[in-house]
Amino acid sequence: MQRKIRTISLAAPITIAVAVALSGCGLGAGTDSPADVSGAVEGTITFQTMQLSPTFDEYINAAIDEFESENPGTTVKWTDIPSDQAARKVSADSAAGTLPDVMDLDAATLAPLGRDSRVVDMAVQAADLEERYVGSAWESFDYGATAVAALPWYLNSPVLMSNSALVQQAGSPAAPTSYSDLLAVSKEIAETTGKAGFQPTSIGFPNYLLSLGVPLVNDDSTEAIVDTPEAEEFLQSLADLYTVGGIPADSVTAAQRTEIDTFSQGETAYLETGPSRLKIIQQNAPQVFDAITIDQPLGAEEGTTWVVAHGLAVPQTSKNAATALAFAEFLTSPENQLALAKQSSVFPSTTESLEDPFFSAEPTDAATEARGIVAASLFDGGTMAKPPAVDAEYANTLWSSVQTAITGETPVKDALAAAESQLTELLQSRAQ
Amino acid sequence: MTATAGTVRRSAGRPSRRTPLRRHRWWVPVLFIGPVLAIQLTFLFLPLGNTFVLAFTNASTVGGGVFTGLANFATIFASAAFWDATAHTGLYIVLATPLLVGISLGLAILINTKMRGAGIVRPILFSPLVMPMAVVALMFQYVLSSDGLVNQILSGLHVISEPIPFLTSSQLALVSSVIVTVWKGCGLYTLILLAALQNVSRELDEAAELDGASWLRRTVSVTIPQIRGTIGLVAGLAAIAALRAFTEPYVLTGGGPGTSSTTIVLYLFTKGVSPGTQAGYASAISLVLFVFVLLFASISWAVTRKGRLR
Repeated sequence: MQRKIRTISLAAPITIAVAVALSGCGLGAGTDSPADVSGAVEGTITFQTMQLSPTFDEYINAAIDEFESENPGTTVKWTDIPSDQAARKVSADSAAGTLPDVMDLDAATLAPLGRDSRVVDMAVQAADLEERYVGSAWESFDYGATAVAALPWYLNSPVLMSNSALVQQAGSPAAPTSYSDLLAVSKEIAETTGKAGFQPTSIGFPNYLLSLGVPLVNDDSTEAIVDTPEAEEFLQSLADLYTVGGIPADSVTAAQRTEIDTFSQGETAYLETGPSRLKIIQQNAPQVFDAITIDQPLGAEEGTTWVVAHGLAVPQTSKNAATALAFAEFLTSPENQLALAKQSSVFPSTTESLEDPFFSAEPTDAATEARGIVAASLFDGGTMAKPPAVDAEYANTLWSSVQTAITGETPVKDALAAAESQLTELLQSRAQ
Repeated sequence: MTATAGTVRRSAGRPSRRTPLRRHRWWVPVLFIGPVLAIQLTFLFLPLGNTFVLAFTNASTVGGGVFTGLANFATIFASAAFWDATAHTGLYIVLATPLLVGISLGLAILINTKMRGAGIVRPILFSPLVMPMAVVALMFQYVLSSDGLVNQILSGLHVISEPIPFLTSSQLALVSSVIVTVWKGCGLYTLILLAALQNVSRELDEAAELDGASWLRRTVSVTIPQIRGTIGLVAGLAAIAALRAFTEPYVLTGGGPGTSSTTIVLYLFTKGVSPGTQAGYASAISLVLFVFVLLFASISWAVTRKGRLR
């Protein structure tokens, strides 16, 4: 009898736990039913941004006030979350069905929701707005299942920063104009100064290959394509560069020392990054900042300069999708985007905003020079959206596969073949 | 029948002295256990149950998913990457466990002898334990980097002409993580073993000394056998710690180069947390890992128990 009671007492909590877990995990629920965007623009919505507070409190609050006064009966509740917590919070909120009505997310963080049709498809609900956005920004949110998962908001795209002090030490070679050129110049830098040319990164590596004409994925994103002659040549050059110290020795595996750190410490000569980084370098390394010269990004000639797009997405679970969509349209309007861009170092996603003289003014310093270059590449169609399947998980897997080739432990051809196989496995697991 | 007799005897004799609380004393343990049980239910059983359920679905981190039976487990066992990670974890255990036990036992024996300054050594040994593992790993990233402390010392002593690639060599990346695990863990295990040594009977040792046994002989043949159970416990704990190794390779090398320092937990993390989104698959891996931990815990318990009986 006692044994029976003990068995029951043990089984009870486990049974309850499993039962609650079964009911809680939404088994078989699949994606939620489509949000209704046809209702009246009224009621309360929640709006979540990624690390815009407190810098842009004034701008956001003013925009919310204007929207509320233009749409009587509406209330927008704004919350801001740190960028590094966004992915986990979005996942947790999505699993719990508590996503905010309007979300400011970058294309990579939005990817899981977009792939799973958990956000309103703007290609359907806001098709008429497509023309107003930069093409690469609109395409950045194409996840297949959701053709356009967000209305593009603000953008970032790179320039090439050079440490002129190091470049002069190396005999002032001309600034590189392509990724292949970057490897050649980096070798020169390493041989003459003993410093590295640049620090390759996991997120940057797909951009290098894209720029060289490697497609990365097939048309329907079911197979990876990275084992090409262009990729092989580039990776071999990178491995050769590693042996002569052309890239920082531990950068292949060291996650903590970012490319911004090594450049700020004067250990690398070149850094391709968004203009917003200039401020960080100025604060942390004023001497290096003073030596920075700005040039066209490395994909400029091929029109393959990368773009990072932030967009405003409306989840299918929104109880007030009509108001949420209206607010997203309002915030991404050309006037509102221009106002935000003028207060920050990000770029608007509407071509009308980019036509403003603010972006074509005569450069007076590194920041204004960088602004002009980026705005021009966005306006002239010089930027390119990465295939949506090429997200952080894809980039990590690819980078992991080529690491041993860079350090010379694995033949380049073998590493690329292994990468292609692993990446195809990853893409196919997503399709299941 | 007995119960009836007892009842009759009590009603026939003096009245029951049981207070209301004593009459309902089954409530007493419930009152004490209840809050703990509630916490365990919420934060242990519920997530465990959820993990168990998710392991049989194709759920992503954003939710949803449908029942897929044993598909995740079939994928796991067919995955070269999983077996690769398992092999690295096995190597981690093989390298870390003897090192942890050996160094800890050596230090415990040394401190247990009447050594001058033993009182200072104990807190020093204990200090790595209170440091967060992420901080320790980050510290070692600088110590073991190409221009780090170790390479600078070896270079300064003209032992090496080229820096040793601790963090970028497939042969050394995992070993570097093991070094961090051992540095962090041996303080705790030394203290556990020291406590055991201090409870060892001195009489046997003295008798052996009278018989002319050397210090080494007495240590190996008299002292160590008496703490065999504790050594088993420490070995088990060390093996489990190595089995769950995550922060060290994650911070030091990110599991690379390639997958040369990817352990099971790191593999699970990359699939289900960052940057991966395969919650169902990652849950299935965590169940497999749970079984591995149970296995090691059982072995440890069995060894400890055997040691006690002796």
